[in-house]
Amino acid sequence: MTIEIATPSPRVSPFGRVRSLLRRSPGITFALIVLVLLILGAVLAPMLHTVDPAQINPRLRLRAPDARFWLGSDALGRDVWSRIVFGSRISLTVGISVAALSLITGTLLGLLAGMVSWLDGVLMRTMDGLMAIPAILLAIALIGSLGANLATICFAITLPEIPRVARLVRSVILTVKTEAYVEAAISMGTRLPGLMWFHILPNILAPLIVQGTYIASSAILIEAALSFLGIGIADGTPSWGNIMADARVYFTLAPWLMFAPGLCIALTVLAFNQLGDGLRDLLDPRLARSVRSFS
Amino acid sequence: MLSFLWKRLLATIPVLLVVTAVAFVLLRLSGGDPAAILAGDSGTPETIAAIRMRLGLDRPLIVQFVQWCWQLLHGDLGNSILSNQLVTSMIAARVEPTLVISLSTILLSMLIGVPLGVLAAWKRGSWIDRMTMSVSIVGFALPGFALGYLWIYVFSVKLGALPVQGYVNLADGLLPFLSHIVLPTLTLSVVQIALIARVTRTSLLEILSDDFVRTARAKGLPERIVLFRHALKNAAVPIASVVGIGVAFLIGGVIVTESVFNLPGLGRLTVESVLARDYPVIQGIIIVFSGVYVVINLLVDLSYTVFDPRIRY
Amino acid sequence: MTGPLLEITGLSVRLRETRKPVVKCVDLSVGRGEIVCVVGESGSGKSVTAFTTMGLLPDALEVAGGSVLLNGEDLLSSSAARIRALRGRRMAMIFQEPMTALNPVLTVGRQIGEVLEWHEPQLTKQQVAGRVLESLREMNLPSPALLVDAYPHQMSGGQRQRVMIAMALVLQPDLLIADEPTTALDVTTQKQILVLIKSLVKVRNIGVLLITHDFGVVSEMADRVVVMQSGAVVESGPVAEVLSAPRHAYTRKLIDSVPRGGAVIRAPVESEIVLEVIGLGMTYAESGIFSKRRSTNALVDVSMELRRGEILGVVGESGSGKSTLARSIARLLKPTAGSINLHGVNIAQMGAGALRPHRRHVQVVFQDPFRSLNPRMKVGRALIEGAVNFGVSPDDAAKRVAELLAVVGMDESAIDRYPHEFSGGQRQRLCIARALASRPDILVADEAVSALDVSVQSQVVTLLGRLRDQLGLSIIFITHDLRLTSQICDRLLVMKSGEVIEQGPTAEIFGQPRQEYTKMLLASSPQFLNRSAIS
Repeated sequence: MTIEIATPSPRVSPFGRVRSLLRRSPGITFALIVLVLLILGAVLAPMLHTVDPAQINPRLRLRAPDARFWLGSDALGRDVWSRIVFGSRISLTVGISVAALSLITGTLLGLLAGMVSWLDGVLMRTMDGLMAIPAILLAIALIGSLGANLATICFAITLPEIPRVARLVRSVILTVKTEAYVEAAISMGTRLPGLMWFHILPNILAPLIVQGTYIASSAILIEAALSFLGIGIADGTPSWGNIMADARVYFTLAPWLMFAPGLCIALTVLAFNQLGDGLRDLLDPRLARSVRSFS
Repeated sequence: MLSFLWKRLLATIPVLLVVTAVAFVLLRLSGGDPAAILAGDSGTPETIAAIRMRLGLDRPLIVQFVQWCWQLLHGDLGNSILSNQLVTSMIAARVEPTLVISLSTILLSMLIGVPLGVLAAWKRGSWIDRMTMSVSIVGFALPGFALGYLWIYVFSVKLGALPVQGYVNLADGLLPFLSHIVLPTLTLSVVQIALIARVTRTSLLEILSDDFVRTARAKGLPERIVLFRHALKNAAVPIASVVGIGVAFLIGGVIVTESVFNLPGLGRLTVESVLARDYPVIQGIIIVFSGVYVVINLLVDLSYTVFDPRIRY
Repeated sequence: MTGPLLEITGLSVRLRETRKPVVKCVDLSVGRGEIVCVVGESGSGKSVTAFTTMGLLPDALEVAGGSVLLNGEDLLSSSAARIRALRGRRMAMIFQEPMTALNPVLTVGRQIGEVLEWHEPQLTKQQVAGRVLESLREMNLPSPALLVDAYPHQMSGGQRQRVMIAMALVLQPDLLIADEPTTALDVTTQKQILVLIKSLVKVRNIGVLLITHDFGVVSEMADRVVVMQSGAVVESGPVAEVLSAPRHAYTRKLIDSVPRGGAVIRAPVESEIVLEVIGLGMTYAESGIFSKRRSTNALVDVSMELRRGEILGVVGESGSGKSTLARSIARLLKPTAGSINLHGVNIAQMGAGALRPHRRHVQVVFQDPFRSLNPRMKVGRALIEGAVNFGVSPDDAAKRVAELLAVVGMDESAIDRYPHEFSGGQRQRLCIARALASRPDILVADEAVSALDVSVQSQVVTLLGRLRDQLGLSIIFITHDLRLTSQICDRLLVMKSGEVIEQGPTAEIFGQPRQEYTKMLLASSPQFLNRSAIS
């Protein structure tokens, strides 16, 4: 028994479409608000009641939040609000660049594995091997060898994410390849580049975008964990993770030092995840199966 | 069945080979002379030369790699740069707390996650479903270390009910032992519960819309039999596989959590060795953790044959 | 007992959210020992009516009015517990797809046994096992003692449907609802299941509500017929009356679109040969390091020829190799033996590069209209792809699109739309238009109409016939439904287990089949019984 519930929707303007989209998906609305605020904050950081985040003020140590120090001051008397606002730059940079890097590399590898059968075995076994090393562990070890700066950190977090993208792309290709419309295109004499560009890539795009948001959120979490462990960004540049690392010793004295950046991380990650969930449901309900609802 | 086991075991060889290769490459990535690094700060030209001889550093990389794999096969992970202790015995000395909190986490999150997911799927759209889903959404977003400090703040600082940090052997009494592992377990379990509950719910919902569930209802069976005998049994495979995937998250979580609670386990050892650039130890830990992950996922794959009669390899 | 077994009066069902009616004021009844067929195309509300009776409506639907009486008891006002007690005991249901309708991880014995355990808790384990065995035996299943411990995937489609029937009838219910029970089965299996149901009605005196889209099945099975169209009953009555003197236009249309036995005699096609297949073989070898080499022969020494302007029907059941033949001719597969001479050039073993210019001549239309068009490509773009690939300039190709759409009876406005905006039949027309874009000589229609409603099916078949006549197109028409071939095919090729067992002019094969298997296929296809006998 099939029940047709969907009725053909009348054509509406793009603006109206976006509006109805936001109304239907509160998750995406929430995510967009948080992410826009974050990006604005990161760009306009110097204008938001901030001081130099590295400015030390030994006489004003561990202040509770007040009108001058919106979120208090840390053990060196630095303004935590300023450090958090500037720290958002690190999280966003890492999240977005890791997502972009791993999507690009993973898609290329996945395309190769899915389309070139003799490469498939070697590539996929390599991906399996990389996936067997827990992501944080691999990132820690890589940074240990390469040294910690923004570039090596991004690379170290990207490498463990690549296999996930490659496997996703490959599995979608293997399904799409057997679709009748691809066979029809083959019998119409369409060459490999045409197949890829017109028939396969458009169908991979949606799951990729969704996967990208999940990767961004997991990258932000991993970067924060690395900084927290003292392996990531050095203390001179504020990041949410290293603000929390600094707060560890004074935790019982000044718990807000720990919870304010913790909340920022959670909100940002939540926003990316909600964006992914919302897009997944929106772009194609069938995707729910091809993209894991987590990761 | 036996041939499947055999095949599946062989399939782990390339995986382990890649893991080993990554671990091998790490030391070479740092750019310095491996022999000088391994000799440590106190290395004299003589000791450096000796190390170079022993590792065959003058020979091609591939020969070095094969030689290293050969050592690994004999259970030789080398010696620590810092303490010159055997890496294997260092790992063995630190394995207990990690094992304890990992097992308790897997146990706790299965016990809570599966029933929660079943309940959410069964009462789809109800408050319990919405609550489960909200908790799981938040659970995915919380950084483990922030969560750990939240527990410490509530249970140790405010309530004073549990110790803040540290680890106590089971030999020193059950109660102290338990009180020290409660908070780490809680910290690690949140993501795992979120993961398991979500997958259980999703796969059950999918199964509940399957034709055979309709058949079971058409036979006049009550909902609980439909749910537990017909639906849950079919969801066993996805649940098992998410537990397998969850192990990767768990290992990552352990590293951070041990640092928060100051547990002398493998996670702390990892961080200590990276900070000290103690490469042989890092390599050893990567091989051990990845090996555990591979073995657990092997067991998960084997469990499919028990859960689903269609899977006969 | 007075009154009918099942009596549905004024039943209305609607979508919960939009309140759009799905079933409108339906009246129907089923008596003991009677088979009532509900006929209609997809969206007619026939299945929803059945599910309402069983109390199995999906959450998206709700009953808006009317009553459903089983033995005089109102089911719509009964408690959920009461309905549950009646299901299995007084009324039972079987479904279209027996593979998915059975739980894959429980044994057959367990699935039948639990009906007994739940409804009759006083039974001992031995009694349950005994009755399970007995019920399987009654369905003529081979070695029931072994089947008890088998899982559904270890059985054939026909066996699974027998198990479903055994499970439905194990408690001797009065009413059996069968929702398209044979649609997913091969014709010969379909025949057996239908015969089984008919004999059970006689032996047990049960009432059957049989839902189908196939008037052939109706004429073989029904005592009475109810015809439904978009949620409402348009006509009902004794089968002989409805079939011989349909009052409603829709009923007439449905009856007319059922292909009738007795092939049209066509003059033999004498034009030049465009395709010649000689000794084609396809062997799938499964090799592993640890498993022994297994091989399956999908095609064995298949030879055939196709002339310009000829429609060749290829008929066979699932596993007969007919689709492998189609895909080999279109060179979506590389056959392992034999030659395929297209305009005298053997393309059987050509590599991708050499093959490309030849591909223009052979185009395929696939079975599933919902997977044959790229969901993210506009129709206009899809229709020029082939022509552009073969050297036509995009502008010229675009100019031809309107013409192509007109040929398949579609409006020009389709150009700017995406595939999901079209129905199954329209999509299949678009697929045909796309295939014609590169001006092929040969069209391979691989079960191209089997996923469509009967009335749409006959339209598409007619379209194919017209394309042959107008364009001189040669068509390989592959189907499992022998009846579809009678009107348009010039010649037939009957396949079984990868081999061609019989070929010849359509009228000859319908009239004097030489092989036992062909005779059986013909006898199994649900036909109108001799219409003069009915009237």
